[in-house]
Amino acid sequence: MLPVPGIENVECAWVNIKSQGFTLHGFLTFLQSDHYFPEYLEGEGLGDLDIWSGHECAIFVVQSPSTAWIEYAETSDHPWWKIFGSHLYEDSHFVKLISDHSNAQVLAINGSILTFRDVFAPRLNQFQHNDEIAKILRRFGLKPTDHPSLILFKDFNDRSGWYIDLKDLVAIREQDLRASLQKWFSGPEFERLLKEASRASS
Amino acid sequence: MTAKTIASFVTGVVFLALLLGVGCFMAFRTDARPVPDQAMFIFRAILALAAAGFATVLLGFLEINGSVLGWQLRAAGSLAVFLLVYLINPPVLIKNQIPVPKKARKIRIPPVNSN
Repeated sequence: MLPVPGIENVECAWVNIKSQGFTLHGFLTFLQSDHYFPEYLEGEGLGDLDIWSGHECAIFVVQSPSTAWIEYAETSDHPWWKIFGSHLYEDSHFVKLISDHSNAQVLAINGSILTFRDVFAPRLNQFQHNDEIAKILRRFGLKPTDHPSLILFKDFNDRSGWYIDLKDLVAIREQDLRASLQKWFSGPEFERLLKEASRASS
Repeated sequence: MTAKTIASFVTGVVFLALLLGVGCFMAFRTDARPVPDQAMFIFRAILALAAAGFATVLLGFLEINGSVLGWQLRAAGSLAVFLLVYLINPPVLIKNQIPVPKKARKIRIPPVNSN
């Protein structure tokens, strides 16, 4: 699971991403109104999907990574850190400072007190825009309404890929959404796609 | 027909009508949030009681034997109807059917410069 600000970042970093040797890549697309996808991804979803997608599959999600994620990625030498994190957050002391003191009040503007997290939030949190999702859907030749979905492809420059409709998972409870995604990632469909992508690359 | 039977029947019909209204409201409501489990429990308990009340005027005889949570039970008539409605629990059966993502569909990706 690789949280990214948008599709351009994936495009720019494609050489680095490709060098990580993933068999399959993909985008998880959802709007803020596709409940409970945003809630789940902001919570435990990022970690869950990171584990379930495994080492062979990299799924990008338009999401601002939490400081906990950045720390985890750095300490575990996660591909995200190698591709995006180490460039964005070169100073690990800065990340630790934000992580440790994120709620410390550091600034007062027009009577409102801002915490460390508030001050640096623009850099970390203004990623998830519905526009980015629209760009992704357009890039893959899908309709603007084809969300939430999982778009899988072998190579960013490929002319074919796979589209998995997740519309049925909208408005189900977070634990059901989790169970459903877990079932899919552990099921034969995901395995088949991995095999198919692996065959295509060999 | 005794006053007790009439009272049971009327109470059953009233609650069944109310639950029909609640059921229609939940089926056609626009709020996407799922109905809480606690609410489903209350609806089921009331529905079972209403069905038992309504069953007082139904002809025939129903007797059930079985065990629930290690308890042996034997019921007949309205009590049997109550237990059937309460224990045979379609919401749970429906709830266990978690929707799954649709089958992957192959897509043609347009060239980058076509945007």
